[in-house]
Amino acid sequence: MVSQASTGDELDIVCAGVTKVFRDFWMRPRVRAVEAVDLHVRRGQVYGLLGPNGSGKSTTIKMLLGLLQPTSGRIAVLGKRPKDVDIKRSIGYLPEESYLYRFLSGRETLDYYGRLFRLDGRARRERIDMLLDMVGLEAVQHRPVGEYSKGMQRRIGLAQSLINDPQLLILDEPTSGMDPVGAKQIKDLIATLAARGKTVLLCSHLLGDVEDLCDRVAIMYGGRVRAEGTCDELLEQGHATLLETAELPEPVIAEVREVLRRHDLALTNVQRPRRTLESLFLEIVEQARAEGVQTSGARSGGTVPEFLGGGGDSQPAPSAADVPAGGAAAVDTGLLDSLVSSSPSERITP
Amino acid sequence: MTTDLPIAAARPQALSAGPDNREIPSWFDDESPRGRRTRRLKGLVRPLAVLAALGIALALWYGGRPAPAITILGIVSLALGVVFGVAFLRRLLSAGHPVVGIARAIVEEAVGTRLSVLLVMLVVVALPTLPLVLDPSERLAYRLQFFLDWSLSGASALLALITIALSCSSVCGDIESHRIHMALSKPLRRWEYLLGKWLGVVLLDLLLVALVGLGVYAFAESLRRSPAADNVDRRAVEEQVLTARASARPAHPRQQEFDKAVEAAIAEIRKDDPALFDKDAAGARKRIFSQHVFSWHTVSPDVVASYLFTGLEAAKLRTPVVQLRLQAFADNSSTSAAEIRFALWLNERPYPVKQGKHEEYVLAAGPLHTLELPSTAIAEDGTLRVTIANRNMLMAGDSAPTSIGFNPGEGLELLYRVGSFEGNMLRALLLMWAKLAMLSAVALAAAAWLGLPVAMLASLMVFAAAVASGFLSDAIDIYTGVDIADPTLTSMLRLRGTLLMERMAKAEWWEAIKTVGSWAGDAFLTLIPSFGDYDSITQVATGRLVSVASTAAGVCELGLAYPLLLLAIGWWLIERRDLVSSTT
Repeated sequence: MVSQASTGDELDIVCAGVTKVFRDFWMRPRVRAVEAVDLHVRRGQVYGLLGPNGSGKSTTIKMLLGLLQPTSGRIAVLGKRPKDVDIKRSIGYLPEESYLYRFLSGRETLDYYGRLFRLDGRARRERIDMLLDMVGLEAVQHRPVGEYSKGMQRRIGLAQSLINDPQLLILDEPTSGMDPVGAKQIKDLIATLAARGKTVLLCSHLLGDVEDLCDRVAIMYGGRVRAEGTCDELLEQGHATLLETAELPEPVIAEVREVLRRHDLALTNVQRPRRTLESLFLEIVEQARAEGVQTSGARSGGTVPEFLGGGGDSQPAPSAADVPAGGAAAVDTGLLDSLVSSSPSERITP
Repeated sequence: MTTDLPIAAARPQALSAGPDNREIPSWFDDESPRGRRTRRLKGLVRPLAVLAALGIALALWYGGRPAPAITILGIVSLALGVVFGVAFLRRLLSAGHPVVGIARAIVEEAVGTRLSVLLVMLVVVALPTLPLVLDPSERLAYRLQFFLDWSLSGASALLALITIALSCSSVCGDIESHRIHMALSKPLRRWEYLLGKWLGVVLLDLLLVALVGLGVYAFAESLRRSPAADNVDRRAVEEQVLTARASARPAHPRQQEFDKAVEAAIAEIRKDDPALFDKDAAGARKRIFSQHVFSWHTVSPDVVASYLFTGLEAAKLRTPVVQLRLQAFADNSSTSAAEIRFALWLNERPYPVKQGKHEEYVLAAGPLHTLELPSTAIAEDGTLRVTIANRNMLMAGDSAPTSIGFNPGEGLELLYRVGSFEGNMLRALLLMWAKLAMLSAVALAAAAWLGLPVAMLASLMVFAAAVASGFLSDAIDIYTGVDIADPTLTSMLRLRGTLLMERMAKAEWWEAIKTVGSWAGDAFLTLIPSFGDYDSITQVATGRLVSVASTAAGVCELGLAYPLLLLAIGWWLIERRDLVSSTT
């Protein structure tokens, strides 16, 4: 959770009672993909849309993009109907799979999407250079996309979704097919963009990603929203408290036990924190890089381009962990421990 | 929360230089030394192939085999034309506009997909190879005609296939592979999407048609320079093939007069044997009508027939000679003669007169003949009355000499030069392009709501119907027994209506169903423009004028009006279509 401070009152996405029924050739109702869905996404929010396969996430997204007509209900995106072509100037979309022309090179692909946004030649060149640098594909920019690996196609897909400096970014499974390093970069990127005031609608199966990034979350199943709220609201367990400190010797633990006993409370669980596999993996890769080990691969990606968000921020993308999280104190420790598990600091969460 | 994590601290450096794992082999990386080497080597392949082909062509040329050398040269030039033409199109389509972006993408698709490349290669190879298969012992004029006809028809059929395949596969491919989701989630209206596709295909067609035109013209010129069989052959090449001639046919008696004669004949027959006529009324009507037309084109023995040609002012002003094109038979009820013999008067003056004597023409019966007549014989008002007297000899064993029967249509025609071969060719190519523009719009409209195989089939069906429109509507009329020589819409409807009523009254249900079925067929054919109305290729091959008026009409109708209408229909369809299946 990264950007609650920048969340505004403006609603970038509103769905009210949206239902989508797919019909067969004879116009008989076949599938009720989405039913009575209400969503409210504020400007600057990172909003997570969760759900198992076939729960209606992608259908909802396609209705937001005007690719599908809702059977009933109302949708407003950036204050207008989804069919309105003008709002699409301010939307970036990364579909669940990168559907690209196999014969176009990475640069030509971005050029193609740049044209759809009426960017002139110079603007296209500049932005494409920055985006290719950001996603780390400048070395293979002249290769046909058909020869790219899935992760590389994902990177190009991500770059195309940003070429218009969108206010609203709709990302469907952005990290699918990416290695952990690439996935982390995307998470960092989302955090950076959110910090710059972008609204992000994030669809993912990777619950950890969603938990790290999202201000609010909606969980869908069977075409309906089953739960909706901030991560705190949904995840906080009011009946327990978790303390974190440097390693305690046994006598100190006994003392703590004693203190608690005096308050009629028992210490139910004492354990050493475990780091996550992701953090271990990232550390090993970083270490190898620092030692200058040679490998042949896509460059890991550069800075987030200046044009995104219009702020003159040319600093490298801060990682999700770097962003000062205003609401961190309210978050269960499990939420961030993947990022801070090696920290020697001492934190107490209420 | 702290920021002094090892990962975070190492970031800036890692971001700029750190390689990712296992994603790209080094030869794949264009910037790596090995990648650069591979790219440079690959870049050399094409120039080397061109140089090698030119070397072979030179060797053949100096080895005394110019024909294959020219063919190789033609293939290389056409291939280079495609390469440079596509580069030009890329430059042309570089603006930052959605329609331009879509157009550019479909050009890239054409270059990048195998089917289109294969078909283009076929054109590039087939066109220069065609002169090799021409029989050198044939007269040059025929060889040229054959070459023009086959190269242009072949190219136009192949280009039609390319156009349909590319248009259908592009839109259907976008929809099936969900690429269209990416495009339509950008500020791109659906009509802009279709218009962009059409623009791309049409520009590509323009390039290919231009290359075909240049290729055909170059080879026609090289054929023109090869030796002719004799002077007549040489003159035929210049005056009958590589030219643009307007034609005039004799002014027929008006349709009503023919009809009146037909009705009179029918009344006569009915009086004799009504049952015989009614059994096949439509067939009999058609037979009687064609008998009348035929007898009007026939000059009986010892009869003098006059045929009036009008509107020849231009011919009188512009050219010294006009050509009288004849195809006649000397048939009798029992025998047919091998030759026809006749005397000619032009505007009542005998022709030709040599040493004060009116000479007769003796020509072989059957083949087409071209007589050159002085244009001074044409009257000031642009009319020329050609009077023909049958001078056929009495054949042994026959009671009377044979008649001279001209083939109705092309068997009696006046032709005169009104333009250059180059201009004619240019107009024919424009018409060819206009047809392709229409086909592309048909294919795009079909692909907007059908899957690939069905859309392709539907487009090919429209193509076939447009090509064979005249033939098909005749076939439908004959099948249902409705056949009028010069039908108008109202006369057709009236006839169909009465026919249906008659058949229902007589309880001929199958015939009635055929009549109703023919309405559907007619409606289909009415919606599809007839390519035969703008048959520019035969015109070019026979040295006939493709007029500016018909070119303009064709380009407006086929290249503009129909495509816009079809694209509007396609837009209407795709606008209402859910482009996503119900899987997620």
